[in-house]
Amino acid sequence: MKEKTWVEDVNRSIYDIKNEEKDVYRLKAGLTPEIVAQISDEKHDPDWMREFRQRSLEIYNEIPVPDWGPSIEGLNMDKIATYVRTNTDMKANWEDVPEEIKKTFDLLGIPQAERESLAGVGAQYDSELVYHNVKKEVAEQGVVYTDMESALNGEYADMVKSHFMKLVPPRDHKFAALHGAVWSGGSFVYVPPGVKVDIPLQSYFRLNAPGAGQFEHTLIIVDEGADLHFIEGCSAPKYNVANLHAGCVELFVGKNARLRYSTIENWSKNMYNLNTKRARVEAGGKIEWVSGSFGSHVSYLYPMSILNGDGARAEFTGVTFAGQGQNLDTGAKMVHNAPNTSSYMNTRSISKGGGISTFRSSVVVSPKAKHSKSSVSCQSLMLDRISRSDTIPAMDIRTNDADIGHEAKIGRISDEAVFYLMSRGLPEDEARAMIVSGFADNVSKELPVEYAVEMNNLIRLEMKGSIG
Amino acid sequence: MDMTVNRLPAPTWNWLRVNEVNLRGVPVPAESQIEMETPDTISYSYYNNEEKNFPTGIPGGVGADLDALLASCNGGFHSWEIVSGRKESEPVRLRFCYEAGKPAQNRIDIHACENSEITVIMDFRGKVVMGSEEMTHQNRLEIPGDSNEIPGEEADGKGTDAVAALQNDFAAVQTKIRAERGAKVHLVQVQKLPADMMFLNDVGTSCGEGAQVETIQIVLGGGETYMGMRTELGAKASALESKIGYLLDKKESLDMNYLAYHTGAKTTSHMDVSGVLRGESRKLFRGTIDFRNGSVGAKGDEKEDVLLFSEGVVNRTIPLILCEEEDVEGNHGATIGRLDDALLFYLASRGIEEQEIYEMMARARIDAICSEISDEKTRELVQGYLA
Amino acid sequence: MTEKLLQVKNLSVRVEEKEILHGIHLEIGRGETHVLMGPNGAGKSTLGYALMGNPSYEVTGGKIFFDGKDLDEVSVAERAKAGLFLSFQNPLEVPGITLSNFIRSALEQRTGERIRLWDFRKELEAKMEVLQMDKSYAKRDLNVGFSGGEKKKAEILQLLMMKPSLAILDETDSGLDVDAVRTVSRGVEEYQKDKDGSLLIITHSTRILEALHVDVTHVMVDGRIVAEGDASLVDEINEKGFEQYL
Repeated sequence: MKEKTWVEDVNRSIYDIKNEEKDVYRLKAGLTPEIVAQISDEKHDPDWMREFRQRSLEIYNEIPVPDWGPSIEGLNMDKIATYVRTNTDMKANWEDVPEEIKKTFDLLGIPQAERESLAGVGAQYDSELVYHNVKKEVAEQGVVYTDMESALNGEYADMVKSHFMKLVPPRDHKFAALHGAVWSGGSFVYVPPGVKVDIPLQSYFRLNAPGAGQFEHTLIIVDEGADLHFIEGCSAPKYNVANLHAGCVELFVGKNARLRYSTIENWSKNMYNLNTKRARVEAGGKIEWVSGSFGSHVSYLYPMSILNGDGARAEFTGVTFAGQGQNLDTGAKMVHNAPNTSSYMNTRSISKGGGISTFRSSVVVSPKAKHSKSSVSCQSLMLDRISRSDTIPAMDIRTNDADIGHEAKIGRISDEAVFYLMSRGLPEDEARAMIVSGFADNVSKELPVEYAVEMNNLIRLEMKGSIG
Repeated sequence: MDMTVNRLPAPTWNWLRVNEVNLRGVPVPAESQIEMETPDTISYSYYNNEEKNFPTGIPGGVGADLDALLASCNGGFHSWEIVSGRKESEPVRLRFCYEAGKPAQNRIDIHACENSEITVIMDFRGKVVMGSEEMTHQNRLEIPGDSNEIPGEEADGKGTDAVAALQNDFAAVQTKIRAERGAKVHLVQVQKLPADMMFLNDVGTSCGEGAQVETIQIVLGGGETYMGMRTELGAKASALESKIGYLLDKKESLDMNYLAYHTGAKTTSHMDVSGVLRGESRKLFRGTIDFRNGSVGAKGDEKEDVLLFSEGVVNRTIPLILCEEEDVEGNHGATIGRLDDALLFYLASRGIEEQEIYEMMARARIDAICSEISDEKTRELVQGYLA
Repeated sequence: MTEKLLQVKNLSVRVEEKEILHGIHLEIGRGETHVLMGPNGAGKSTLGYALMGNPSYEVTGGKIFFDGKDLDEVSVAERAKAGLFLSFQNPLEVPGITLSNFIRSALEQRTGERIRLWDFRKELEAKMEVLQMDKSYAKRDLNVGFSGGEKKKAEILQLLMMKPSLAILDETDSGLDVDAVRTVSRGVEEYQKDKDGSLLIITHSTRILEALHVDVTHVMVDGRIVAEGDASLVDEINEKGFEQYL
């Protein structure tokens, strides 16, 4: 029981640390060509990027807001500051990071995690990375792990240029266009052919400033036969004004390469999380998404896997927990565009305390994707009758030589299961929390153990929220 | 007239182009003749516009635009009623023979009073077997090719398929079913229409306490068919059992929108769809189980089984489960593609060639549904079509 | 010496990257009844599938000759037409096709001729009587909702109707009660008598063999034939089990 109290007390305070904004450079809220140009100035953009941002802004103004998902009426772009930077440069030495920011990340366990189990860490605070480091052994293998801005102007400038927003073009949707105009921060990773990175790399994103947006860009290229596990964590303190996260993740998985991309997202509940993630997988390669969505007020999140080469594979394992005041629209998209490709989707969603969770997916199998296989399994759990849970999958199959399976289930916690655990001496709330954790074990099983523990703590926190 | 039909109850990404269908230039149809046989125990009436209102308060699955179209035709409607407590096993038989060049419409009202049982069989066919010109429809979804051709989400506007209706070969049928407390209604529809015909088939049902509605729909031909069915399971323990079987070939297209709307406690719905696509045929099934507040103890099941025969087919499936009640159980399962390898081997081990196995299994799918039809004449009709 | 009906020469078979059978030799003459025994997982069913030509079972070495003909590259359906029959351990359910229609169309496929319904029905009913199957099963969908015993009887019914020259019975007696085993073995006897049919009976128990005449017994362990003998080998295994071969 002691441990439980600890979880509740400490965890909540961790995510809710608010640092006062001081010594910060903050661009005026709103979006105009001038503001976008200022971002370019700030970041010393090369010319092509200056143009790219302006063009994206034009597209942003042309495209309507989505008319099919959760409402984003509470989001007023004129009030979102797109660029906030503390007066500090990026550090490669943790000791040099300003005390306050360091304290925040320390409490979130970031450098500790690095010491123990990571090959490299990047930490973004508001719009810019404040810390970036990669283990020597990993760097010696030729692995590049750096912030996007350095990549854009450094040795890998051409590689960045030829991949940047090629997978998620600004025209994709309104917030992709917004991202193209105002993106800032994020990580660039390149793993050379045949290199296997045994321990994960991690980026952690923290949005501290109220009424601000975070638009980090993550670009990962895993070359032929290489192997990488990348972990992304996100959090922010709760403010009364809307915050916006419109990041973009582009993953290029080469021939016979493998990339696992794990995310535990715990944005505060005033966050509009309109994030776009996409992977393209070449022949024999594999992308594995592991995704836990717990935070934010509104989420639109559907990582897409484009299986572009013979025998490419994709797996998506996700859990979404929507509590009070949350409308989380999550899922995945699979595109089979080559023969012998396979995709596998396994998701769980939980709704509680008036929260809304929607599982949304698509499986598209093109005429080229002969002998492809796809299997989708989604399960939803309703914890009370004031919540809502929707399942909106779509399948579009255009070859006869495919094997497509789909399974969806919705239901509640069985009273017998609760009774069984209680008969073994567990209090009811604990019994229910345990069942819900078990329900979400498709994801926790896939996470490194310390993240699985964090995830289960989050579930227990959410579960206790309304019962106790 | 332009109309929007088969709207998905909860929209999804527009680029999938499944949210609704826009029909352009739909002709205003005239009421057409129906051949009918009515058992003595069932009363039949025809009402023109002034006498009585068609029960449009019970929405169908195709959508309000069809209500509007048919209301504008100035026709009447046919009504069958069976009194309380009477159970008639002999069906009402309705035969619709559509002629080329004559846009047709009919409205049907079926009223089953408390604890009654009624069977209505509808047979849709073309008067002359046409099939000279096939309708053309475009595959509008851009399949992502290279990295630069990824399906966008919003950039390409509304997610609708706009289809131009042919002025001539068009028919629409709307059926409203009122199943009062404890009543049982069986609706059987068999469709074998010419390849150049657009057909709208809409069913709307409301159920009283413990009422049971069973529908069997078999589609064996038709150029472009839009079917919709909405069943309101508002009263306690009412139940829907809906079976659909289809065999599509050439450029035929079948677009469906089915909704089981659960508001009553302990209501149940089953939707079972199975079919075969060959040639360049297209099918879109939207099946929604909607558990609204109050549907405590409700159960909903959707099952889909699609066999794809040839390379040019397009199969789309959108099975929704919407839920705002805790104590419910919803399931959906779909299998799409080729025959299972184990089954292929089993049948081949009896000396049947693969091609023939596929033919057999195609017929078997329809047979399995057909065998649930209680009326022998109708079963024979379907068997005749299959032979 | 007359040519053997089935000749299996040095057969090796792989399933999903794993070799299950390693160099099997087996010969079955016309009218002979062979028994293939062995503990669970020995590869007995694999041999049955490989003989029938299941595409998931890849022949990696050796040859199968049936009626003097090399079966390499011969499709499953062609093997059946040539007179090979496999009774499945777990027959599949086929909704929409009745047992009767299925047998009839399989027969018609084989001969390429239409079969007179009257004659067919008469024969079918006679065979069903041998197997003590209720006539209503003829009109039920193939194996759909059949109990384990009914499924096995339906397999033997197909065997009796199709009259192959070699029948492979894969664990036809497993999961059956004593009465059902007796009925099934009566059906098998009928097949033996009827047309001088050859049999390969795969089993890991001996119950089905009690009433049948056995010519040769083979014992398979770990994908190899480890012992061969006459009918008395069955009794020996009945007494001592497989331990001595492990």
